[in-house]
Amino acid sequence: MKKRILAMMLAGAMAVSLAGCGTYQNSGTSDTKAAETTTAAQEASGGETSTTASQEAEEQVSQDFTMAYNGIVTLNPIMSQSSNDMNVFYLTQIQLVRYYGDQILCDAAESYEMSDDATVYTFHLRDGLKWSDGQDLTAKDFEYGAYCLLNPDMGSPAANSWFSIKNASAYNSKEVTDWADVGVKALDDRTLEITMEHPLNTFDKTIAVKGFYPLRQDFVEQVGSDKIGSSVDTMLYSGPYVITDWVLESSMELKKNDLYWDSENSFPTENLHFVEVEDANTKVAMFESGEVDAIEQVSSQYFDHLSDYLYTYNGGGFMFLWMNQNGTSEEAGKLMSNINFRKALSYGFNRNATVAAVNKMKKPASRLVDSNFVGPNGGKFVDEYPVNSAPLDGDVDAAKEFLAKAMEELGYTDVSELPQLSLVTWDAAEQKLLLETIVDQWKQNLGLTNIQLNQYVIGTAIGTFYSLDYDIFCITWETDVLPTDIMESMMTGGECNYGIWSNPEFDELVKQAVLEVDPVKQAELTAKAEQIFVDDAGIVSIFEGSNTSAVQPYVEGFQMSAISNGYQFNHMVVKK
Amino acid sequence: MTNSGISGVSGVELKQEDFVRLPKERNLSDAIVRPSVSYWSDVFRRIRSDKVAVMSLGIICIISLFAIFAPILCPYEYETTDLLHTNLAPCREHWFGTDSLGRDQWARVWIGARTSLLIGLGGAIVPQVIGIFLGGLSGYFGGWVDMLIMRIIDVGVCIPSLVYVTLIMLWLGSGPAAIILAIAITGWMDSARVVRGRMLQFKNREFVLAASTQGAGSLRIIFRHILPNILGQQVVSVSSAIPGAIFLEAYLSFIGLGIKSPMTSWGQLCQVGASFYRLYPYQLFIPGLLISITILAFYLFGNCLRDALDPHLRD
Amino acid sequence: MRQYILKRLVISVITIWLIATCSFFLLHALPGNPFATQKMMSPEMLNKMMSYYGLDRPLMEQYITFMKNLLHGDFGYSLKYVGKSVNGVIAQTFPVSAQLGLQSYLLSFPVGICLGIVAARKRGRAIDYSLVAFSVLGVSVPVFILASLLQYVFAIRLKWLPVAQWKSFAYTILPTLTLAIGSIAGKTRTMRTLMLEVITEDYVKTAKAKGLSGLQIVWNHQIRNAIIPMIPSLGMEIVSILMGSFVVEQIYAVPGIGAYFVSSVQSLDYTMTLGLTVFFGVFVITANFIIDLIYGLIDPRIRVVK
Repeated sequence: MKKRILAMMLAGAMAVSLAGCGTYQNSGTSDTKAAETTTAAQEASGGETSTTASQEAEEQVSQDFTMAYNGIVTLNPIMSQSSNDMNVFYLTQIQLVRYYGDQILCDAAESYEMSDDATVYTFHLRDGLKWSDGQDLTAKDFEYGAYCLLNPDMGSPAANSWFSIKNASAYNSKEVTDWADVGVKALDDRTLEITMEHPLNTFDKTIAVKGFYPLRQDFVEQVGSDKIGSSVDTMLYSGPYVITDWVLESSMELKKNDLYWDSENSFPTENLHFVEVEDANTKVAMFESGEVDAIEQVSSQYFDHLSDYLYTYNGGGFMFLWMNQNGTSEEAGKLMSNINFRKALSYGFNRNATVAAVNKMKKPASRLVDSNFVGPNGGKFVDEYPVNSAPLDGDVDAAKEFLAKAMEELGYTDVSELPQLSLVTWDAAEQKLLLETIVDQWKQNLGLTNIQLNQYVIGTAIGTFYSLDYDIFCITWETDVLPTDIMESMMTGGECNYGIWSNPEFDELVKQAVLEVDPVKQAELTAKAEQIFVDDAGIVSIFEGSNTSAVQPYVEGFQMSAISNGYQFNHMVVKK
Repeated sequence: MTNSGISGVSGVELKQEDFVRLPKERNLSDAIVRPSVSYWSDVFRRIRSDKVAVMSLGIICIISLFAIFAPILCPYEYETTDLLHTNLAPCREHWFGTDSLGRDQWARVWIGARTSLLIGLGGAIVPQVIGIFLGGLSGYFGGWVDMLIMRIIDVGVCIPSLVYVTLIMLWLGSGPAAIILAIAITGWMDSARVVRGRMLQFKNREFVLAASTQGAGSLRIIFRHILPNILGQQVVSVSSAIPGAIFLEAYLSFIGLGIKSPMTSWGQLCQVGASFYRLYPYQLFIPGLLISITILAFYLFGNCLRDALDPHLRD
Repeated sequence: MRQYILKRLVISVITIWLIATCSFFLLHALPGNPFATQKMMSPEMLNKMMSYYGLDRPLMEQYITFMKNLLHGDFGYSLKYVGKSVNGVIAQTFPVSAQLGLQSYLLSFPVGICLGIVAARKRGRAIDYSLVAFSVLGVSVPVFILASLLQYVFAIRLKWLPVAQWKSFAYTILPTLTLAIGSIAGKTRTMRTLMLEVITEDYVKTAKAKGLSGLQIVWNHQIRNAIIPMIPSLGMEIVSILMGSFVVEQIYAVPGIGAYFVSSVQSLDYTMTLGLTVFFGVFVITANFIIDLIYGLIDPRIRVVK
């Protein structure tokens, strides 16, 4: 499951009660602006949408929407690993609360509250929720969903997203065997209580971002837990749409679910047709010929060609260069362990020019906090807490100095004596171009000819990442609900550190930041930790992720966002 | 002189003086033999006299010369990126334009030519040689040799080539040698099969029987008598395998296993060009045109070589 | 004959076992793992996934499990497409690829043979040269360029046919054509060469001397003999055609089996790769077996049976 960031840091006052989020309002400060003008991301504002149904009856409204989407591999939220799956689950499964843009909407929950010490959340479900087969959907189903996620015998790869729940981690690693000890309880059919391991005042965001989908026990047992979601018939739906047909790696048909509680006021388009198209040229050709109304993930070379149709959001993750301080050889390890050498690499290439050449919709970055995060004073975190990092245009002179210092420290007299370094990548066209230009900039700017670009098939390439069989690796890591989340995973022994970088000072600051409740103090600690991270250049960011779609102008209200995955077609109208 | 016989019939009397002794040399010209020319020198003679063959060989030579010298003479390096001048159309400074990272296409095309010619020739000839050898053995001897080789092929054909190609690349790195080896391992089986079929067809023919009754050994029969019959077809296979090898390399880079960047090849340039073909068509058509010309030249030359090698067509 | 067939059957089974075994160990010799190709995971999660799918057990143990399942005709479940059985994926995608392959074969075989014969009989004339040029172009233009060009001309410019997908017959035309053109070119070329060899044979001269008409000679004497050398590669050809083309399937968004083959190897989806490989293997071996039998029947000079 993809981790997504939260646009707002919590204000202290919110720590008491979070109830009453039922009505939909768009703040208008959507982060989903395309670089160029796009469709009606902002047009779908609150007042209009409540009356859409009656207004649009008179206009030419099509009930069919066709899109070339990023195909999915399973319909089962428990076994899903990919953000593409999450996009579809947004349409097919109900959530307790869900995001629409940067707004949290109540979905299955009519209201919810958090205890004063931020350890217990109580969700009150709506009356009359139904599964797509007509049976009642109750709080028990949410509990069973959590049980499936955390049950080690189910092998869910998403389990660790929920380890903030009491005893969840222990249950998943079989240290606790009684489900009753885990902090998820259905008190009655309409009340769900979730207890935290530690005080956490952002758990509703976690749910909105990561899902927490219900599952029904009798259905799972009837189908068999390993076959759930492998085809249309082996899944139950609870969301605004049901899937009527799904051909793996090919197509998917969705039809509006009349049993969904809010089906009258949201998701106005009756039929969604998704097709999976791998080839970038074909995708654009289908868009131009009108065979599809929208395409996801437009290939970067077509940005100028389709500039009037683009819909982009930035954020959600960083492309990092991972510097393996163990190295593929002893000598390489020594070189990679040298902070000045790593800084030379980080300063030695021009992020702006690189991004402009490879994918101009990306946002060049040399720090760790996503530009979408809101700071404690209401502005952007990155503006309120600037860090001193490698300039986005690169700084060749500084890089040369760093390199000279590094060579002096290690006793090299000439760059030609440096050991061979292996930069591992796989067959992703854009990534390959990115690395080719970075390697060449290192060569042109610093005279480094010892960095080899090694390309393997994806399984093998990523295998080297886990087995630390690389010197430099380039891959995206997705950000999470809070800025501190990604920092936590970068800590020594953290989930995405893999043993390549360690700084006790950073670890200490992050630990403090995580437990800090005062937002200003927390932000300060976070910024300090970020500065250390950037200074150490152990893991170096290149740019922030982005997702660019192309949408026909007659489609209004097409929305996706960096905060939470999902085809947020809550108010999408096709006026064809 | 020729009339004498006829006049003899009509009763005219002939005398000794009527007959003239011809010089020995003139006698020879009546014989139905030509100077003894060995098979191979005849092949060369026929190629030399064939205009198409000479022309296509000329084209191949010109392209090879460009591949050797053009990158040296070009002011730009094939691997040097220039992010301010990306996707330029062909112009005076960049004769073939630049690619999406601002690298000079002229330099890249000719550097790519080196790789592709090497891989094309190596990748076409090496598997063919292995194939002829093993297929020939299999077809000629039959029995358990045949069974063994054919089953090895059955197994080899079915194991996904991607798996062992990946292994070879990991083992040898992704240079031309590794790619030729990979192509050889995947490619020999097809030609072995074909050669075996041809061998079966020829081994019971009269001339083979004649040779073996005269006491020719197996090797002599294979190489002197059967092989020339098969070779023509296989030469055409080689010339048609060249594009196959060039594009197999492109396909390998398409799935992440080709020549290691920033080194490039025609196939790779084409494959990158194909993804840009609607926006920057020249990035596809220049390498595409060069490949087509080269392949045409190889094919026509191969065709002439086939005719030259065919024992039936000896004059 | 019966003994020969029996022997071949036994050998076929051994061959399939060898294919499965070799593929199994080669695949597991590749470094890397099948997970995390969609999203990065923590090392802890990775280990959990490995043990959930039994990939942390000794290789021999995994091999024995794999062979046991194979004996029951069960290829297991994909590691990438959660909950999808390999058998199910084959059942879903193979018919699509097979239809595409057969359509293109039915188009390319007769056309290629005819063009080859025409070229050979008109050797050295304009029509021969233009056919040679066509066959060179057809073989030398790689599929990914040909597919893009056809798509550009017929779907984007002329708008006669849909750009991509696989819904009705109209959708199948462009992919079929793409596959067929390359194959026609190849066949024209091979057939031309083979015909040229046959034309000078004694039995053709004899037939001419007997006063047979040109067409009769072509039909009765030349085609039969020229086609024979094409038969051994026929098995491979049919199989590769049925097993789909990765590039064509990708460019025209055809839901065939070819794309799975490539992506499952790339992402080291062991079960899927092995399942498809064994399926493919059974197919190839059966096809070769039948062709060897037919080969002996067609050409009386060849005796496979000793």
